[in-house]
Amino acid sequence: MSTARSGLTFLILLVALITAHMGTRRHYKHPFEPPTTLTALPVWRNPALDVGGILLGMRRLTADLAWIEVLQYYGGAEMEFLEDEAKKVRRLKEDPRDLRYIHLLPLIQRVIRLDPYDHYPFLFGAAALGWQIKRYDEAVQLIKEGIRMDPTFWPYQLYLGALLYTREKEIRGSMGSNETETLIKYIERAVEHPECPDDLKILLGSLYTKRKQYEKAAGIYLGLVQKTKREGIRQISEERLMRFVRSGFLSRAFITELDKVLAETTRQK
Amino acid sequence: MSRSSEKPEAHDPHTPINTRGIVSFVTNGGVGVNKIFAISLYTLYENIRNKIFYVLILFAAVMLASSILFGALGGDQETRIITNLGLGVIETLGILVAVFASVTLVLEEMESKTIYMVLVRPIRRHEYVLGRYLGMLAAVGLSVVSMALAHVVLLQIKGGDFSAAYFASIFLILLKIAVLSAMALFWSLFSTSAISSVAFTVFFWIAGHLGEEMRFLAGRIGNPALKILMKLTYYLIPNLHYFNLKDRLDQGIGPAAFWFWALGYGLLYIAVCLYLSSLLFKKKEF
Repeated sequence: MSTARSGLTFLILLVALITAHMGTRRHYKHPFEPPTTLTALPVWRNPALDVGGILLGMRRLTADLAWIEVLQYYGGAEMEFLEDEAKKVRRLKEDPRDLRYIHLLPLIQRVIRLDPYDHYPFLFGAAALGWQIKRYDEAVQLIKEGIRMDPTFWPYQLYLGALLYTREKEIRGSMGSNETETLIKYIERAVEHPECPDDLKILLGSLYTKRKQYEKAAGIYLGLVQKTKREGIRQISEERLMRFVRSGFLSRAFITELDKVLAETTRQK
Repeated sequence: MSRSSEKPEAHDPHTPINTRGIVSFVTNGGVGVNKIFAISLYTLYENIRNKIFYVLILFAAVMLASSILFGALGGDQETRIITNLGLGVIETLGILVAVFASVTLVLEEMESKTIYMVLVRPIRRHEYVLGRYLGMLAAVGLSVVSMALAHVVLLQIKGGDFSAAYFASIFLILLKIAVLSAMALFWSLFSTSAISSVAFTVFFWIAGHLGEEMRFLAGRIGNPALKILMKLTYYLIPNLHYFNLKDRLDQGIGPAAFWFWALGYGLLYIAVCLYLSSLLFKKKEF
């Protein structure tokens, strides 16, 4: 009788436990990707540390330790260049890109796959690879991964836009012109978001202007004149629109439409 | 002997009450809650007097101080590294103290025979188990809170900012420790060997962080028998990800509904472990 009662109590507790587990599961969103991405983790250095950190529930701390390794690598001598000279020459012939700090991308990827919500390594890596080491494809790869993980963290798109604006020719040379079109689309998608910052819109306008797509740029500036709450941004947008009109970059139909919208905006103010 | 400890004896009103000492209060009657409280109190004192307890707290202090060095190595990420390393140290040492204390909680008293002193008195077995568990948890809780205070001071000096998620993560670390120590107590009574109990608990500590991976695999396994086995394992092993807020500090504390269910889940897991521990303890002959 007592055993039966104990068994029944245990069963009730077990059912309650499983129900609570299911209830918690419904309201819990696991923020990390399934283990398939772990297999792609470039754990060629200290794999035990990475796996051990995940198993003990210390993902962020493991990512921090991996980040210290990145800084030590990037701040130190380029150990890979201590290898024999013939090997280095052969490698440079195979890949004419700047091969300084050749392991920087995999080392940063290790950090960001451990903790994809730490924005700093993405930005640091993109800046180092894009402007210092000039391996644009790797910088772009890093930013794309950042945008995939957190599409509304706008500095990613700002970095991408800045890279495109300052190094478009080089990116076209190393990645092809189709790739630059794809990259512009990342910024266009971000600009459609209601919370997109005005600075990113200005940057997209500048990119269009540089590519001589004046009416597309004018569309962006016009939108800013109508909607921005920042006086400085409104002034820059108006100045650029006026410059387009004076330089004859816009079609007559566009200018007529522009006049109407500007008059309406002034009347509303 | 076993039977006498199952049923509380009626207290003789003519027996003089020895007011000195906590055990005397327990043995001289009082309701179940009071007995549990008294046992908890003496377990708390016992743990606080334990030298290992101080060694671990000292080690935690050294580790927290070393986070300054790691923080400096992290460049612009200094406060982030100090936060993560501190939380990691607090959790790991908290769990280690709790697991070792839980494993020896009853076993040590059984080996030294001091358990007879308590069990010959009118105390139910489950009251003893619960009292010992709560006392040990209070001691570990004190150590966790003192480590967290030291960490907060350190972060304050370094200019770190505190979000609600930081304090919520400390609370969930305590809940994780409570779950794992209840489990350690169960294994210690199940296996009656301190080493195997620690090994089992550490295994569940690790497996508890693989809950989401198990669920992912269960969704992809074709074999129905294996699928059921995987799902069963997923539900039986504690999903410690729920209590691992320190790994998702950037996502905030989460919705209130999650907290309601997660707290319920943690408390029920503890209840199941303690219930099974009581059953095992009841079956033991002294």
